[in-house]
Amino acid sequence: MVDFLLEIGTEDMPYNHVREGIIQLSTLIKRLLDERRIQYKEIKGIGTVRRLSVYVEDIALEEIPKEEIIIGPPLQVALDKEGRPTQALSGFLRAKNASLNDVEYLDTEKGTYVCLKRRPPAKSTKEILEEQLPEIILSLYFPKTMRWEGGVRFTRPIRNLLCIIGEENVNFSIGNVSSSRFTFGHRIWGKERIPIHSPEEYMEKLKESYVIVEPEERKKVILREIERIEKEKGGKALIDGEVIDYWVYTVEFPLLFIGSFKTEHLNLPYEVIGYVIEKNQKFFPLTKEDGSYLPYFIGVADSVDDLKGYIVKGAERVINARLIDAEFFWKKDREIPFEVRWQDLSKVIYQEKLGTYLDKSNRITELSIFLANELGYPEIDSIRMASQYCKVDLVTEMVKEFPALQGVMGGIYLREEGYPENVWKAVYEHYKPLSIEDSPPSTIEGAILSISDKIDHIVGAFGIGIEFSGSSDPFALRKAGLGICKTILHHKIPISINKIVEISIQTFNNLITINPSEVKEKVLQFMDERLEYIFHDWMGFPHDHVKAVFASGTENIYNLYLKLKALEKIKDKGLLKSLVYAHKRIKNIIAGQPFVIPNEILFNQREEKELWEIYKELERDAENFLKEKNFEAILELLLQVEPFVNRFFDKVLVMVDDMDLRKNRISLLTSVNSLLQMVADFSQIVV
Amino acid sequence: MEKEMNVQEIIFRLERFWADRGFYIAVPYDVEVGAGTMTPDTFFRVLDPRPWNVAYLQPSRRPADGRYGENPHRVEKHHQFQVIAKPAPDDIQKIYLESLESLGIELTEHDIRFDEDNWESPTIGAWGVGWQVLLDSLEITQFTYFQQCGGIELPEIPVEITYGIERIAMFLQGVDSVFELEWSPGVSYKDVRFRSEREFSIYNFEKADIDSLFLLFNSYEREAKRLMENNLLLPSYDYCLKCSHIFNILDARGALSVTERVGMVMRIREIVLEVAKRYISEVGNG
Repeated sequence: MVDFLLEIGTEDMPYNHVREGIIQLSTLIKRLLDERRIQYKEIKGIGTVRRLSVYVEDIALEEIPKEEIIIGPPLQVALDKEGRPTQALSGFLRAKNASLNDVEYLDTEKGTYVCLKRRPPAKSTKEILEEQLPEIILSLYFPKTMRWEGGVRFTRPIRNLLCIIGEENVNFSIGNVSSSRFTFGHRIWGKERIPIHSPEEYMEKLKESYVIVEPEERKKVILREIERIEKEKGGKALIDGEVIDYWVYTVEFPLLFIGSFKTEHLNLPYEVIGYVIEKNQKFFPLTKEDGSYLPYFIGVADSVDDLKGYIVKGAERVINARLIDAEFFWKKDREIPFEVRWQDLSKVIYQEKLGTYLDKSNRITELSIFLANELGYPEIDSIRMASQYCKVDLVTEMVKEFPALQGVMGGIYLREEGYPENVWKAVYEHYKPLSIEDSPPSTIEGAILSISDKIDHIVGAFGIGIEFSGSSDPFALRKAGLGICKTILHHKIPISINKIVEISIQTFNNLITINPSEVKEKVLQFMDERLEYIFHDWMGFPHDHVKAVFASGTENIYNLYLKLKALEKIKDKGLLKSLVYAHKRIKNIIAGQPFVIPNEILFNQREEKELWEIYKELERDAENFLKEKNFEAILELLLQVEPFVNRFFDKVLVMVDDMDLRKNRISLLTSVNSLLQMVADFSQIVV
Repeated sequence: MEKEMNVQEIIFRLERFWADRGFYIAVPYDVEVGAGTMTPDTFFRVLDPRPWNVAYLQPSRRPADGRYGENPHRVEKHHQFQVIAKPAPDDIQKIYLESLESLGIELTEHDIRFDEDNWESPTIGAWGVGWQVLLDSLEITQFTYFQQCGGIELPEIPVEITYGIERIAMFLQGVDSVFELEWSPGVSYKDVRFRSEREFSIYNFEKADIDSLFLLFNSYEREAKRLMENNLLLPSYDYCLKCSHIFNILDARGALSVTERVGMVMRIREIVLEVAKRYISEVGNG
């Protein structure tokens, strides 16, 4: 048994392209091997910033070809009455270069046929790979690609291809690069041209040339070194997973070092120091036990050592220079109060068609105040202030220089100016949640502001025809939508998305170019999809339950969550099952007819009256429980209706000739249906 | 690091390095530009498929970046060393690293990182894919494979290497302020540049006459259009560059509303794209 190795050598790829590229490449090659039935023991994607590699252990040297079936004439045509081969059969055999001994039979729906079963000669794995690899490599998906000399597209130029199976070369080319058995070492420390005789020596040879080709191993080195430095300095490093990934997929031979900055910079806001070290330089800040910063950071380089200390010194100079800039902004920004600065928002465009940030602030203010009133939140002035000032930090020097501090910086400056906590904190957190993993704003004021900001964003985008697709969402609409859902659920905010979207559309006046009712419909559908994602993909509620409660109306998001919870809690699955069947029977009969109150006088069978009586009783109780949002209790009530429904169906014929009677019975069922729909369209639940 | 190298020595060595590799060393262009990319030796020459290898120093003006000579890192006019190689050689990254060695940088003593940084200039309809090159965490070079220029999908992909002379000099001389740099023996950056920085900052931020500049913009634009229609493409492009510079001053002066800003960029861009189109139809792009 031999191993197989492919390495695509490139110029430096973006870290996330390496991360995803490694997975894609091994997945595609695995698919090829499986499709062609080439056996192997294990397949593994590895690589670095300059190479995407796949290692296959114990690969078979040839495929196991699929059996081909060649269908000939039907049996009764192939053989005559005496069972002798006819002209048709011998013609078929001649054409296919086969003899009578090869004939087999195949039963089909149309009867038995004569056939030939053949296994084509197996192709060698090498040959298959030579044919398929160029296409596989060029089909890797990267968010941004480029062209270079050679006329192909890839994330960065391909400069080397190493491909061997056992000790044999696998020959193909891409653009002007042909595969060989050579790889290359670390840019500065390694050998430029390293022959690889067989795959087993690949990783070792690279290590000798200062390349650790397995991402997991580089990650281990980085984490181990961080731990060592933590112990040495007696601090705790703040480790962001994405920053770790950045380094794992940016360096071939990680060297970690400790740097320091001037203690006077520790007076800067915590968030600013963190931003400069972590986001700007992608280093790791060190903190004390109380969480405050030490004047140290951990840096990463792609090097073997730093004997002269230039690498540390360079990093320290850059960090100190950034912190000096930040000090300057911190001082200068606070010279002009937000009350004055606010006007400057008229100079900053939000979106070409949707006006400036001043316009946007005004819209957000209107929307937030509406929301606050709906929720009965008393301190409208705080909401107004927070809304008006939430975007002002965009014209501060600090945010111009460090854009990711938007919101946070606004909050800090307002806090410095002495605004109350419910104002500055709302501004501070209003961009949250920044991702589906991130937490929503912690305060109700922040939640109101965050929802208004994001609704404005979504409505505005749909209003001028900005759409998104699976791969491209430049306006980050999905993130905003998910953010709204998460925030509403977290704060149990009882609002109707419908209403808030309507108000939002109004705040745009004539800026929206698309028909408002169409915008509304699109936004609502968009929000439903986000919600479905949260409930099903994120929270793990079964898909049919989500569909079922959605069918009860998606007006109030938090209620949907409570309904799903209630459904989940039903212990007696048998009862639920019966209810599902009962609801199905009802829906089949009423065929989409709306709720109509039946006429009690027309009831002439006991089962009708009983169903009507229990309906009235349950409906009254359910309405009471609805006030306290006790959907579990409502569900318990609904489960009681099931026997009455079934008795009704067993004894009462709905489709009678007497049209009045028939209509009345249908009306009775629409009533029961509307009661059930308080929680869900149970008929959609899979039992 | 070996002996500290002054600014002019860095320029000489880079010129020597690229001249030794067969590059034509152009002289800096004499119309104000915001970046070396905008000079005709880059803009026009990347449009067609013929080989083109050029290197030159290019002073670059960014009025909004001026800080009255008071900020250690920011200046209104800085110096780029611009290299265009078309087609880009396969080992261009290696050649670039050798150019750093020619500046006395011992690579095994430092950390080099090619950090993703794609570049775009709407004014001249250009974009490319590439990196910022970090030397011990300091950005010293922008490295870009052009994909499009003048709105045209380039038939042959050039690589552009833009060295930041001030950054490299600060790195080599180990100083924390650009004004402390030694330009030549006994002459500092402050000696040659400080007064200009201060006065241009005052001009750009405070004294530039807004009405006159708008008039100039309109006249230059008219001239650019007229010349373009007469197929005098290089003169037309010069007037586009002048428009772009006037625009930058107006922007630094805070004289532009949001819509004006977008509108003016689009007006320049429209002429530039047409100039590129006509240039290609004359010299051919296949």
